[in-house]
Amino acid sequence: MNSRELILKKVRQNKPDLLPLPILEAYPQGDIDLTDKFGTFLKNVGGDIYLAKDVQEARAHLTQKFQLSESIKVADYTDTNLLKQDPHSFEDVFVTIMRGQWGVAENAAIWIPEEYLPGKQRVLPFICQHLVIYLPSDALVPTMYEAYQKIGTQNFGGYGVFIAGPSKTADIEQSLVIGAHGPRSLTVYLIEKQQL
Amino acid sequence: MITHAKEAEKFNKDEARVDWHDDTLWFVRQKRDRMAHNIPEWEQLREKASQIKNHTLSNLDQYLIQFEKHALANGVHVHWAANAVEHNQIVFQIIQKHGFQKIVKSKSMLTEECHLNEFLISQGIEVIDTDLGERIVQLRHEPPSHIVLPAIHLKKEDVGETFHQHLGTEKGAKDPQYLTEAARQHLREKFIAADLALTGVNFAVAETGGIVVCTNEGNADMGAHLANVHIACMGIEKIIPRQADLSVFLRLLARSATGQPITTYSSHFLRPAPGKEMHIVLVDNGRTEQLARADFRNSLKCIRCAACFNTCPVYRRSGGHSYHTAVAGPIGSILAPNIDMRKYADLPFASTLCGSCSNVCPVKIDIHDQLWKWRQILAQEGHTGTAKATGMKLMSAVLSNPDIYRFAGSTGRWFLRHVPSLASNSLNPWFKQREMPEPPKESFRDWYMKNRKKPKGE
Ligand code: SF4
Repeated sequence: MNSRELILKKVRQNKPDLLPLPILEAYPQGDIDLTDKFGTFLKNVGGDIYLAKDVQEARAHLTQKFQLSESIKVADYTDTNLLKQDPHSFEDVFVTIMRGQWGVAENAAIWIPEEYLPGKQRVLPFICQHLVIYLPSDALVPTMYEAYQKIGTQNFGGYGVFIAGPSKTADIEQSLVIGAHGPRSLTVYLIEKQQL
Repeated sequence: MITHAKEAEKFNKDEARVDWHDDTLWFVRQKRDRMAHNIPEWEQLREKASQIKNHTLSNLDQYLIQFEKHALANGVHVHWAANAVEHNQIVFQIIQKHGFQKIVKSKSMLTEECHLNEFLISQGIEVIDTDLGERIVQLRHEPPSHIVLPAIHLKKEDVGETFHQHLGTEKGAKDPQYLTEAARQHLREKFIAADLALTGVNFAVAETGGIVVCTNEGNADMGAHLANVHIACMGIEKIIPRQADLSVFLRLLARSATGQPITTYSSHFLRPAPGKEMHIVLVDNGRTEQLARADFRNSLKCIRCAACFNTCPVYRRSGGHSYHTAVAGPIGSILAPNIDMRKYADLPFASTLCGSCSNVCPVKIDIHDQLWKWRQILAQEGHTGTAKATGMKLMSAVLSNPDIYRFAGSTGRWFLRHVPSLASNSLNPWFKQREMPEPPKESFRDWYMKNRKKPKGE
């Protein structure tokens, strides 16, 4: 008997009688302002947040913030040339700019499905020095429950990720350090609805 | 024979360090409490998580088959390993098939359990742990002492010395920011050069065949997205039925583990990227035996948050290495005797049975009851000769000496020392009290309140 058969046989023999699978439910969060809560949590997990009326306004702001110039490498979701590149070539990307699909107020996590990654390049939100996410202001949900209801199981491609803040570690004496392996900062622009 | 008591005695020699270890973990425990108390439905979530896991174990064969079917349909290779040796062989064969030399790993307690690193290194493969805490202990040739905070037993001076020796940082440097930056540069090179990335799995979804990996550093993703081949290794108990079940578990995991509202990254791997290869190894290694033991099977519900470690007065004052097993702490003391009763007979005695572990466990494992039940079984099986004696010795070493065991006392002092600084921010204490980049002059809330009423475009 191969290991697969063996393991399955032992599980069948040893498992207890069937117990019910509980129904998942929403827990009402009361009268909360989603934007306020999301923004507060994002700040608390080390992120930065701005409101912008459209993408142009956000772009102008971040160009200043990161002092972008011709010589600085930016990976932007509108750049269709990224698709065919070797992920290793992104080693020197300074800023990655991409869209987020849903934002979760209870923890500031932002859902990124594969198609939202610039050039569908999975490494881009991690390998860059700074990460920028545009999030529609009406894409906020109260908790992870609502987020997974929105995400469903079919449409996020081969990969999807919740991102909450910049990369961080506290492995040396529990001292928080921002910028472990991934981005040293996360900037979120809440873009007024219908503009993205 | 290695016993918890003897190892704990060693750890207890440096009293100041023991106090510090105790305080640090208690601090993490308190962050967990504040997070839990901010969620009114916390107890309902724990109950839900517990029921989902109970159900899954009662139907595990079906879910494994379902998971495999979907993963295969997603273009993922699925392997089954009955034990640690087979697991290591499977991983090695994949490496050999490609002629790979360089492996980067993100944290996986399963591969610790299987002693994969030692095996691969003995075969001439370069294996680099990329979680900062794991890299630190790897450079020191030590095992991790905690499943979430692998280097929690070390002071920054220790890390500074290790990095000075191995990474060429300045002698005597101990600033965590500086040391982390040095590790970042060192590990970037390793990520870029790696042929293959190995990760653990936090959850595997039967409904989709996908796996979820949670990290704060982003190291699992850096590895997996750069290398050509990704191998994810998981115990068979990591299965959950539905993707939406993640909403329950992700709400509980990081809050219980470190007092964060969620880990920075919760990555959902479903299909390999075009041109790349992905493997999942499903490992038994004693889990099906534990499933047969009615009194202990629900230890398989564990999501490895380590809340039971952080709250345990014995763990905090004896250190993770004293448990001489990959998964230390209260839950490790239940899991280890299942694999080898004789070798780990001492561990169920490394507990006061105070019940704090069971109270914090996000999936409601009756940890302290099971520790007590193991003691009965070990007695019946004749394993308690040394275990009981050393167990008692441990209690006198770690607990009865008021100078060493100052659980209540140190907690009180801890409060006096730290709470004033925490009181100013009830939402996320993780960033208070730690070296946070300059705080914003105006809180987002103030700013938002001032700005949201403004007409469009201003
Ligand atoms: S037994 Fe419970 S508290 Fe301990 S690590 Fe597992 S899930 Fe966390």
